[in-house]
Amino acid sequence: MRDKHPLTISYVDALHQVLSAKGWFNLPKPMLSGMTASCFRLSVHRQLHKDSPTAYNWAAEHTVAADLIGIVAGQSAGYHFAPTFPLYQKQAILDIRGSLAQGTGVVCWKDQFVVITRSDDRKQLFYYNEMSSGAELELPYAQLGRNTTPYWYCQIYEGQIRKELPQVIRESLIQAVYKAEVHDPLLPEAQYACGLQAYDAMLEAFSGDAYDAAGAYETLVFYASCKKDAASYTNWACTYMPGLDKTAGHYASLSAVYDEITARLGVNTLLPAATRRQELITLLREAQRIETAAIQSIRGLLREPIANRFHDVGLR
Amino acid sequence: MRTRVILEGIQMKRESKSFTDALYAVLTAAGLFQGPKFMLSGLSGMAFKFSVHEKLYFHSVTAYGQWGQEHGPGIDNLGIYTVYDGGRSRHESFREYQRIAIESVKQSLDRGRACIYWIPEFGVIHGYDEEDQVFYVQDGKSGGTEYVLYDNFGINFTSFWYCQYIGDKVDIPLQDAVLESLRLALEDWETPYKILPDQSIASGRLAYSFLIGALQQGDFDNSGAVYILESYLSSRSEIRRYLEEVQSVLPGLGEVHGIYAQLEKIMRLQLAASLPVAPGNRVLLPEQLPSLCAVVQQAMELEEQAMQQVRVISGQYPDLKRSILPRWGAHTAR
Repeated sequence: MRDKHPLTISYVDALHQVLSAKGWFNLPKPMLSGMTASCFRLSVHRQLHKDSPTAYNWAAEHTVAADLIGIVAGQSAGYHFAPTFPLYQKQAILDIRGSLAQGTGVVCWKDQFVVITRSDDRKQLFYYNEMSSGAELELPYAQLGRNTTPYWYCQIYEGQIRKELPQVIRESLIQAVYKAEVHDPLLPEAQYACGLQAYDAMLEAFSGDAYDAAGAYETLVFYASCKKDAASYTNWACTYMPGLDKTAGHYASLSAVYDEITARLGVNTLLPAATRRQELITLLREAQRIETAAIQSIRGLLREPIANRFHDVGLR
Repeated sequence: MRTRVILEGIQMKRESKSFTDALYAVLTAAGLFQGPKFMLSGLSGMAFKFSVHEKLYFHSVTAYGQWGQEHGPGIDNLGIYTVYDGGRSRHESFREYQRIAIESVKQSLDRGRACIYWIPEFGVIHGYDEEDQVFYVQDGKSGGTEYVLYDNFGINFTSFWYCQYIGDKVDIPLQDAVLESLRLALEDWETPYKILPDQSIASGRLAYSFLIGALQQGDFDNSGAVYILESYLSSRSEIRRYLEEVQSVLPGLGEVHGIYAQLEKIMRLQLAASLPVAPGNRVLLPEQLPSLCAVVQQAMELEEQAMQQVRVISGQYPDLKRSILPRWGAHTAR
């Protein structure tokens, strides 16, 4: 975990730590990223603000993520400035201690996703792992949820039901289609774009000057790691799903293009700004073309189950 | 865990929306809410919820959104802790979540707190018997108690299961709670579709258009229409009584009250004509449909005026919650 790029840390990193420690998930992280469909999410702020990687519906997506892999989970979330927050904090402290007593870590929001691994009732302290540094840090009970960002969130894992791998893979790919094609209703369309539409928003942002350069870098480094996960995942999943190799090929190419993109956005480049921007636009168009083809290939492969969802691809 | 628990003082009565009726029974018995039901309906924003299916089906009345997302903010505005379990009973994980929910219901009852449960519609679980493996459930209609086997918990003819628990309470100043209830109302008014991508059910302002459209076109479910209209009228009556009670709390609220009083009056008169009191199956009189449409249209315009005034009132005070993009809500997991 220590060699992780801090900008690519996600909910899946935290989830993977909890589930592998518990023995509930024994594959490498990209497989979790794929099976939970997390690596298929793409949503961006239209000025590419740095909140893009975490601006999504945690409550909804993390519930589905856990359910897709047969993990039984409960979660709660809210604003810590709400008058009722102390009631929720009190219950969350009880629930987290209960989970730790069962030997199960808890994923919480501490201005990034972290894992609470142990507690000390005498000192009234939780201990959590910061995913990027790998450091173990202290969190007083009373500070749980009182973050710099206005949100508090935690997800508690209560058990596991058996799932068949081919079925898990199939559903994750259907969710990939859903994420590519449907705008997240949580995000105002005037400010955010989702799925394949995110490319038009990125192209528009890079064609003008009204984008946040630091945010753009953070956003694309994050999504580059998602594409890398998608490439590893689909490549691995070919064993369980004949015909998926074409999709896997698309994601491998897509991941390579994203590496080119992040190289253009990095600070070390010596190319003039205008040239870099032109190259960036060309690369994004290429990424758009490949990802569209990837989604089309999944649609082709899973024509019947997708058609059975009628007007709502995401509805399991 | 005890073997048998029956909570005293739980008496659900169908008068309002079924969720409100159930919540009222649970909260008053737990000493967490004092006052009449219309105050609960108003403060929780439940009275303002109005949803209509394009064919005026019966389930319009409870299809006002994703329940967890709709009920949570309303109960929060009462200062009361709440969580819910629920989902689709066809999901593979249903049995596991059912098992957890059954334990949660029993724990809640052990602490003296009844639970709200989708029968359907919403009812109250007010007891359990470990030996017989049953819950005691009230639907608010029969006055009696039904039994739900643990094994059948959450299984019903709809595809959803849902159970809501309540906890402790903090005090919220009345002015804050009234202001927030108006903002909840405004959100419902302005959100056309609450269960996207489904667009066959509309909310708020658009619900009126769906209602008028169906009544004009004539191809609608008559008993559903009766239920929608009666529920609508009782909600407007609750809103009027709620605003009568709290109008002095915020400047400008008296005007909103006046509009709802007028709305309730014209609607009550029209429904008395369109829906004559008769035993058995009540139906909308076809010859009354044109005048009913005209009055519903008037009511929509009045409510639009009321909401304009609510928007002005709301604009006088900061609204931190709605100035930050949340990380939950809008759609629930499925």
